[in-house]
Amino acid sequence: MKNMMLIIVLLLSVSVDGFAQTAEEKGYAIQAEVNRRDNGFVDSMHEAYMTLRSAQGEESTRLFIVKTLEVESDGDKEIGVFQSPADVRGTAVLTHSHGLEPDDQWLYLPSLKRVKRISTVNKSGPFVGSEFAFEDIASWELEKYTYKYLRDEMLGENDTFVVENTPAYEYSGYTRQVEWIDKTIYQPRRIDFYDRKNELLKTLTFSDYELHIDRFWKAGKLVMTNHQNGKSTELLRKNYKFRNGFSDRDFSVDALRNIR
Amino acid sequence: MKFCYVANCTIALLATFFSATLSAVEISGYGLLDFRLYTQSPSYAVQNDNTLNPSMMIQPEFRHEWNSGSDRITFIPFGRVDSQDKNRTHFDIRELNWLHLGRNWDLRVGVGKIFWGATESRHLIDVINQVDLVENLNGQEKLGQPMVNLNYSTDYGNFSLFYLPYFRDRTFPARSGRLRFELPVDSKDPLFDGFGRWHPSFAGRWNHTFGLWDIGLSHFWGVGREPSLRFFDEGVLPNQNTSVLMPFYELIHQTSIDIQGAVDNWLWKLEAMTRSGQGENRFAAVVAGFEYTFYGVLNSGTDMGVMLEYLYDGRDRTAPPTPFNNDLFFGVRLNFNDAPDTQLVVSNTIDLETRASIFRLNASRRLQEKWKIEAESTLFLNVNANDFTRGQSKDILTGMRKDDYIQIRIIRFF
Repeated sequence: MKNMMLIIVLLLSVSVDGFAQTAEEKGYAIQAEVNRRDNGFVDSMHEAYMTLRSAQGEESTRLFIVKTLEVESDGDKEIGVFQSPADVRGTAVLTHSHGLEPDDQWLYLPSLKRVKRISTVNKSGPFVGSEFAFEDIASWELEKYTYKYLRDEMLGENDTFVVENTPAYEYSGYTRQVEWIDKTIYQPRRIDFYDRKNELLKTLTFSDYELHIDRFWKAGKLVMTNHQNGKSTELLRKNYKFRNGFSDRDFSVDALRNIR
Repeated sequence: MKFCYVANCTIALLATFFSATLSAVEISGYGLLDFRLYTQSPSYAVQNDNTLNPSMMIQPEFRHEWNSGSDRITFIPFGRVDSQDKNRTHFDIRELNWLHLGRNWDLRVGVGKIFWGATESRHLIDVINQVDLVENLNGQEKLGQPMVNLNYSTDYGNFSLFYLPYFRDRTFPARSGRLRFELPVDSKDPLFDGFGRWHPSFAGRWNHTFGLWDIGLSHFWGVGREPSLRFFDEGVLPNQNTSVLMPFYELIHQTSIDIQGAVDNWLWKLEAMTRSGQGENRFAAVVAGFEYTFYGVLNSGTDMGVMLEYLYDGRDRTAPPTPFNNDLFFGVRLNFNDAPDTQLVVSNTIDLETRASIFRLNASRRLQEKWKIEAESTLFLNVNANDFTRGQSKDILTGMRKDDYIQIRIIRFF
């Protein structure tokens, strides 16, 4: 399966600027290149500072540590541990993502020392009261969407491809997303999310890109703006560390009990 | 013997401070104020009849890590001061342990807390730690348990071994306290079936994930955490001024299974066990059910979970008492998914034979970064009255039938 994908990716990336290519093929090829450039990081960790802003300008913040393990021929494994607000300190969410198959997810409640299975059907629900839905922060796997190239466009100073992504997984809250991909670094600059009625719901912007271990571009700042309720959420990602030597066991249900 | 335990803990505590002062200690935890209102006067004249029962609790947490996180000492003392019940004013060491993380194993030595289980209505198989019953009737609050715990993870699941050298007595409300049985339990002087508190207990557990399902198998051998309650008639009729129930602890074998699974909107939950050593015969008990969640109800971000569980317990009347012989639990959980993380859970556990039920409400909301408010209520519905001078009621809830309460809790984290 992995090899097949690789061949397809290679074939398609050769013909990114090729001739007889449908919009779907070109869209897929662009995203496959984005995916290829993101792959091979092995593992990573970073600090996530999330600030929720209400339409009236009231703010509340959350801090969590995110650890990710790249898994060959399956979705990534990820663990997020809350550091604040104080009442959820030590609460952890473990996700084993499986692309189009249902993900496995567990919640660890430190006061009870209890590990609970949680349902992963809830793709479109809000993550900790923010404007990010669970599906927005889930690990991105190529096969989770179908793609269609729309146009080339200058987005501010950045030359971008504009690609339409249609979720191929169940229970998405979106009919489609329109994504602006930077042509030089093959990373998203902006995504517009359209709700189930195909009306513009949210816009996510990516900025403060930094290059890590000479290979991986990561946006330091993400801002999600909800056009329908006027709320926004800012996500700052700091102190990225790659290749920490994480093992499968660090992302197991039993490791949750020793997390902090 | 009890004193020895406290002395040992104190020595260990001092040692923690000495080693910890060498390097940074992370301090967190919380303190809280409870305002509990009883809606009725108590069943018995010896009980405290104040409507308002204020109470305060503090639980700081100290952690120190070294070896880039491979070694950790955790110290969590606990204390409560209660205005009404002298047994509820109590102190404990919830945790005081050293944890070492190896590549595929970890070792925990000291006082710790372990949770086993999957269901919501009853924690049937969770046998490592003793219940701190005066903290909450729901059995979710536990006393710290001295242990040596080795966990080893393999491709075939996680294997855990426990050596539990010391036994902790269950806490019970005082004679003058609320939420007690028909007769108060003399928790100061329990009876043991031919052994002492230093009688060791052992446990083993295997747990593994199979796709959407998590399965655990456990065996516990040692001092049963639940006591049977014995009334000694010293030639006098039972009376509220002097009669007591004596806790009687026995050695048990308990084998259990717990399963939880997530299939679409369904969470399936099962706990089942069989136990010997208490009562006339080996008995079995089960809690099984589901939680079905409707996401984004009423066009909002709110999730509504509907819970249903069946409870069976086949123990006889000489075994430790339980209200959950043949019961049905149903509940609704609302998660508003808003910035202050507002949650509400209401449930009712009804006895299918007596029709008595326990109604519970829990709500919580963050007030600010470091403050939280919680509301809790427990109501006892359709519980039969009894003339205790003619013998004990068959329903262990009888003593609590007038102890409905509503409680507001304000928590400050630090």
